[in-house]
Amino acid sequence: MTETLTEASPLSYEEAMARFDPVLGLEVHVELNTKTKMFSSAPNAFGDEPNTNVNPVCLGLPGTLPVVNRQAVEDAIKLGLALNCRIAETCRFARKQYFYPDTPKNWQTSQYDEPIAFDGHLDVELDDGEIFRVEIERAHMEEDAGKLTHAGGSGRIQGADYSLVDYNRSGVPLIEIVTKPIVGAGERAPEIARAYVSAIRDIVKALDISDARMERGNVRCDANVSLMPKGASEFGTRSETKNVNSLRAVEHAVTYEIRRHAGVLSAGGSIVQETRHWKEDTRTTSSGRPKSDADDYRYFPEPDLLPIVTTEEWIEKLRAELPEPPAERRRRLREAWGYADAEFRDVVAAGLLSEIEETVDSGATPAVARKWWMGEISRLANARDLEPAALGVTPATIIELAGLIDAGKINDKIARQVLEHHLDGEGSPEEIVSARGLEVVSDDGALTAAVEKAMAENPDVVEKVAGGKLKAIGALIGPVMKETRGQADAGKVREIVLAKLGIEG
Amino acid sequence: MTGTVGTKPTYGSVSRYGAIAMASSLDQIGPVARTTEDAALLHALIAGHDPKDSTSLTDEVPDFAQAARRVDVTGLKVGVIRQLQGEGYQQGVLARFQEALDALREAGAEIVEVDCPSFEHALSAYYLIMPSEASSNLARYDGVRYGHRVLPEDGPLTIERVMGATRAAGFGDEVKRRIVLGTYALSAGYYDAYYGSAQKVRTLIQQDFEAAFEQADVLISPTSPTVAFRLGEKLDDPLAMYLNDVATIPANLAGVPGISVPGGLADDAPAASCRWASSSSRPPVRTPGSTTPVRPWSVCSPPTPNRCGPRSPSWPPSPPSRPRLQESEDTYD
Repeated sequence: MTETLTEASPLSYEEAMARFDPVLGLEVHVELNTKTKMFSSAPNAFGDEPNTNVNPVCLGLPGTLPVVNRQAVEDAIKLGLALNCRIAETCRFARKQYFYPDTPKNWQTSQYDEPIAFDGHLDVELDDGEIFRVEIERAHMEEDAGKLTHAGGSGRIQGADYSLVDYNRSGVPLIEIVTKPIVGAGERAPEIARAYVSAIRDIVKALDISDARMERGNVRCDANVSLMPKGASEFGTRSETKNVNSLRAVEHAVTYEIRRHAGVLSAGGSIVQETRHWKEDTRTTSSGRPKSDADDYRYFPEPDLLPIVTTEEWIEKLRAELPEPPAERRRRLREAWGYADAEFRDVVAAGLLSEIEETVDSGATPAVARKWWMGEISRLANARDLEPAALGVTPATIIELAGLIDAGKINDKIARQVLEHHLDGEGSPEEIVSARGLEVVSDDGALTAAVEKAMAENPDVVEKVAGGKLKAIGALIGPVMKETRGQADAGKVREIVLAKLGIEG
Repeated sequence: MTGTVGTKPTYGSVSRYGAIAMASSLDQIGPVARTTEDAALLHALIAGHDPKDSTSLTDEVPDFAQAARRVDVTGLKVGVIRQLQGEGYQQGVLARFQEALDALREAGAEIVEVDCPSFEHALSAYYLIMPSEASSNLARYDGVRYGHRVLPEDGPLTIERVMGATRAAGFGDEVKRRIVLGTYALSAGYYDAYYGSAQKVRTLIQQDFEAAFEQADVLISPTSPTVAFRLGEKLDDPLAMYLNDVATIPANLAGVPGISVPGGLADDAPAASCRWASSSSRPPVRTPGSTTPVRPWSVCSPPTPNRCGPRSPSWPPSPPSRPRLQESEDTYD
């Protein structure tokens, strides 16, 4: 008997691409931020003591029955609409049955052949601005399972000394979004996978239906990868890498699986249809459990729940509540603000689009808004371990600070101090400036005296400046600031120095 | 079989929250009482919408007790179901049933025969749907979180083996039989042939009921084809035991309400007949000259002579106990 080869050294990505075309299938699970769980009134909250956010329904106790969370259904419809899906007129829940201690009823209430949303698509923007359309097969509602922690052994239930189970997550509303096979991605497959998950994350955030924090598992991706020889049209055997929990990991997991498949296939072996686990430290995947298409979950329609009927009126009401699609919004703002590409990317990465937009809408220039939000406000928020938006800085405050600077009443450095005093509750920027006497020293007498003193104390610097090294003036500004307790106008200092040396600025 | 009045309310009339589920789409809580009026009073108490049971009806609870007290059946069309008599029915059971029909006719009711051809598939459909749902509902009894836990006698203590040992020891033969049947019926590749077909039969049975209620205000049949058998007598012949449900299962599948009332003795054991009414999803039928919707209650009290001996309630039933009703209303919430 000959054993089929199932393992070989991965090929390099370039070699893999030279020989094969990848096919992707992405399943993204989104945990909703509803107040209560999918089928019970237990709180939906993250990070609490284990088994405190539970009630008899989500513990699957005998005699309990599920009741559908209306908010979760509305969230699912909104997400379906945002993904350009058709919304089912009626849909049902089904029982997906398997024995595992993280599902206390030993079935997961999910949707099977009647998902609430289907046949959609999402246009994904890649780093270079190219748009790739990902077709969506379906988006369906289901409940999350409890969280298992295995002690001892390999961290799996097999071989563990014991396993702990936390049912706080049991019954948390989930929406699973399943793509159609993504073909034609070519070498950009890993990038497309990342961009797709990123786009889903942005959408659920914009819809405010999920906290969308991947590190908490609010958005999780299962990546199916298969290869077919270049030019072929029949799909190869796929592997499914489960629970990839960061955008970077999605890209790396797809890259690795392409390389691994290519290695096995090129060596004449065959791919085992199985789940794989992503290992962040080595950026590789390891074998999970075999998974065939014939896995028998004994699905049948959930008899404890009635079908959900969506009326046209209901759907249109929800459609009217949809925000501008995040990709369109970014495009619009980037054009309107005129930031450099890198600047704009940083703003997006910092998650401060809304704050800057609001500040600009209130009358600040895009440059001022970006300077404050990306600069001092982010720094202060970081120091206080808060999100920038949570500091409570209003656009009016930013505009007032900018106005004080423009009027030459304070300089940048003082303005930053004023903001900090403002956050400490000392009043408006103007009040702080006058109460603390922070107005820039611009009366020439005091300033000239300070400049003269600094020049006298730093003859070497003066010599440099006089010799044409105008940048050396900076070394004089420090001492002047010190003398005036920071209230000097740097521009003015420069003027005075140049005037004294008889140089034309 | 027990000489008692047994009620099977419309599916959804009584909340299932708190009831240990066997087959969710069939389970319905109903009173068992000595008299129809007691049953009606209890039903009124436990009926009504429960937000914790999505399948519970939102309709207003009808006045069951008033309907139960009504004895006038003049002009009421009572439909005898052709398929629920004859072959397989014990002679004594049929004789008592005939007497009940005679009593109804004497009291002014009109007896008609109705045809429900799909009823002959009811038992097969029921014994696919019920075990399928039971196999699922009973999955939670795995010894992991609560209840009985049995450890395997030897070998490693894995979760699968503990679940297996617990379920092997905890469930009885009949329960295991149903779990195995149901698991099989729901398996990939068999679903359409079994569970799927059974659900189609269910729809046909509902249509049979609808057609029958076009012709009759209420339907009537024996409750079971035989009188009670001895305890444990049929444990080795489950099919014979299943067959005893042949007359009550169609209503169960269709969700229509029914009531079984004692009908005298046959071979020294209680026989009973059942009255079936259209479920409350249909507009209630009214008898001529009456404003009371016809519920099964209104036809359970013809003056049938008491043949059940001392174990059965005296007839006519004792007058309603007013204080009890008031007390009930106080605690009804």
